[in-house]
Amino acid sequence: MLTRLLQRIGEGGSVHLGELALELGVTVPVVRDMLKDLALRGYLRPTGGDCNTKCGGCAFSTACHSAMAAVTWTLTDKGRKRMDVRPKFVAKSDGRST
Amino acid sequence: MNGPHTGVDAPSSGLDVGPPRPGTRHADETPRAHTKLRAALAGQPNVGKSTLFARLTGTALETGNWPGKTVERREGRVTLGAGTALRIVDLPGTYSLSTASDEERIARDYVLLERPDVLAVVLDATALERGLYLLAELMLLPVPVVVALNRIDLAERAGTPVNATALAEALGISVTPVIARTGQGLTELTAELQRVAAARESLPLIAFEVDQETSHLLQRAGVLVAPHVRVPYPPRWVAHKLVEGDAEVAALVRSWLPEVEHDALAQLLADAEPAGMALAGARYAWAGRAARCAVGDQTASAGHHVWTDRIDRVALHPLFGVLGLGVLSYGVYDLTQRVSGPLQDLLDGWRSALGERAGAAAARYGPWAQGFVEQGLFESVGLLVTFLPVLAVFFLLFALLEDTGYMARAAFVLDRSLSKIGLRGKSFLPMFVGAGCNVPAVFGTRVIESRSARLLTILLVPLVPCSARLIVLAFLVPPFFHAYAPAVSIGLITLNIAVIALLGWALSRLFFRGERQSFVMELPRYSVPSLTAVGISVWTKLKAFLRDAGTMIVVIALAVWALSAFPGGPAGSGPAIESSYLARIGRFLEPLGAPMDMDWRLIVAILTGFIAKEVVIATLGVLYATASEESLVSTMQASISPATALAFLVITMLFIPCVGTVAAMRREAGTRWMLFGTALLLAVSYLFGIGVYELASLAGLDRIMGAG
Repeated sequence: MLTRLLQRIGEGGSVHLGELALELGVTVPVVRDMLKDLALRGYLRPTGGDCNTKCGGCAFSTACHSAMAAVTWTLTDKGRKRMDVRPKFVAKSDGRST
Repeated sequence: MNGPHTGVDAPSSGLDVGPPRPGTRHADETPRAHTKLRAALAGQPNVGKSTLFARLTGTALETGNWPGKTVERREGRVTLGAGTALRIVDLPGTYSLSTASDEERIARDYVLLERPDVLAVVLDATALERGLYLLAELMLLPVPVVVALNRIDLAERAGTPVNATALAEALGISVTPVIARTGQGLTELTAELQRVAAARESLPLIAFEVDQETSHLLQRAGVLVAPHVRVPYPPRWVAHKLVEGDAEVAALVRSWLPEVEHDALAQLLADAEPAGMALAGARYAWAGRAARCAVGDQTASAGHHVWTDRIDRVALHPLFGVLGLGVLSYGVYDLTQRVSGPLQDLLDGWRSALGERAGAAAARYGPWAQGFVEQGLFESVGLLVTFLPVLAVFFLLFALLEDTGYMARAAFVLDRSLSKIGLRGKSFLPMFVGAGCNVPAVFGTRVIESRSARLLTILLVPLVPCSARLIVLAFLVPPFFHAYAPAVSIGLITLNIAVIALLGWALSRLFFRGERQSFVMELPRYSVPSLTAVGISVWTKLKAFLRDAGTMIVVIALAVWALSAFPGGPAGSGPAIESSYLARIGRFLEPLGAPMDMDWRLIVAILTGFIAKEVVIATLGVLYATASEESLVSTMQASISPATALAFLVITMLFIPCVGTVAAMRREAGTRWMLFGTALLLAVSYLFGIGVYELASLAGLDRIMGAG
């Protein structure tokens, strides 16, 4: 189940939690748990949407007044390796990880 | 935090088999005395566990901390009658039973080492599946489990009633429905706890569906460790945890196993990570299956978001979603015009009346003062302020849509369609923010971690029609295009989106070769917007607009006015302005405007618009101000053809909105990319301006309509 989720995310593109839940046959909160689980295992990384730090360079800061939970997840290097998804173009690191 | 894969180098906190740990005296005084049964309450956070605990124990409560931790420990007693009592420990709420947090460690150690007679697992009937995941972990432990199915009333009300009997059948253990809030079902629960505790019913083995490799690995690991596992650890649980890469268990096993066997085990587990994931995945699958048995297949996934799902079927549809967004945008535009139009006229009336009076009052100090007040202030900045209603209504509608949860869908559906053209994943989100203002959008690109995708987004963000540009649209489109105004406005915005798509596609092909970006978004549920939140959002944005209008834009408008007044004098129009410094600058650049039949005034307006897009209106206000009674708009109509106006608008819409954006681009991408982006957009906007002018000319729009 976790592997399937990781695979689905590894395919790229945009997807929302409801769709994932439907595809995997679980509920949305469980998809959320599974994403966190994958993050804990180091395969995924949440990016942006962390509205706890008010507007700290967050793209969703203007939307933060509402309860809009726009959390995005991406594969980590480990996750990419696991899914055997090799980026065709290796991004140069700009030395400023935010 | 101990990651699950840190190896065996973590000699750890609480799992050592040693002398009895301090702080467990309640249990140790009379070990395993069946007259004094011990129960523990486990569950995920926010499932009503504390309420249930309070209901069960009443005031008979001992509180303190778990030994060595800052986590509160609560223990109470339930009198069962006939001289027996049930001691209940409230375990910390945990989502799972890894060793990621103190809470999880405490809960797991308590169950493993103290072995209560029964474990009551509280499940939230409205979030059954989540709770079942924890249950799947707890059921590996050697303690009888009773499920307290809480909030059954809420689940029923939400349209997803949970069938307790079916759940009990699926789980193979006792399930008691309760409502902790009201105390319903507590008697049954206590009776069940007592029964199971006294009988020490053994748990059914959960069948986790895993692939052959995983089950093989589990079995091998089990065989290797089983002879050495010490009390009170159950071998099956140890094998599971080893495969999952649990550092604490790994450390324990290392202390138990002779070196040779440990080496064999280490070798066996060297590539166990996928198996560990498969095990956790199997728990999720097990939880899903059990939940479906109890809730029914349909509702298990749809949950109680029936309405949200129904709307989303349309709102997130690749085709209808985009169409719907178009219709909605048109609605927002139309409503903005309808509601704010009369208000704007009213404000404009006040402005000119006030301007005249102030001008008359200033006339005492000479014609310069009068010109300064009338043209420098009221015709420029004052004019801008009359757009306050337009902005207020637009921001209001935007905030309303945002607060209902629709905006997240709009972002998602557009993102998905744009990603087909090469713009992928998260690039769109900062762009969406750009609809408010491009500056934060450029900074917002920081959420994109790959540099190439980020650069691409930074280059494209300035094309997002920001609210300042919408003001210019609202100002210029209606007088020139009358009945076609909505279509022209939407067309211009669509052009921007089309250019984003086109440039995005071209740039990603040319410079930024595709990287796979994946992006998972959580869509909020639709809800009735909160007026407070909407009010705050509108007010914050309007305040920012007024602050700009009151400071920077005043200064720029005054500078423009001064340049238009010197050296000829403050006469406004007529020969004086034609010889002003501003006219000289504009004339110098006039050849550039010639293909679009733009005179120097429009060129100057575009130039000043570079400082901030709203300034365009202020500049036009100064440059087309007349001594006569005719309004600014009719003066412009008398000298500008619709085709030229369209070209002007296209350039305004496509060129970088303001210096602020350029500064942001420089900070985020460096000077070179900033220059590249500026030059690119300059070229794009100029070419599109000429192109649109030519097209409009073909349609015969290059004739001046004349006032009226």
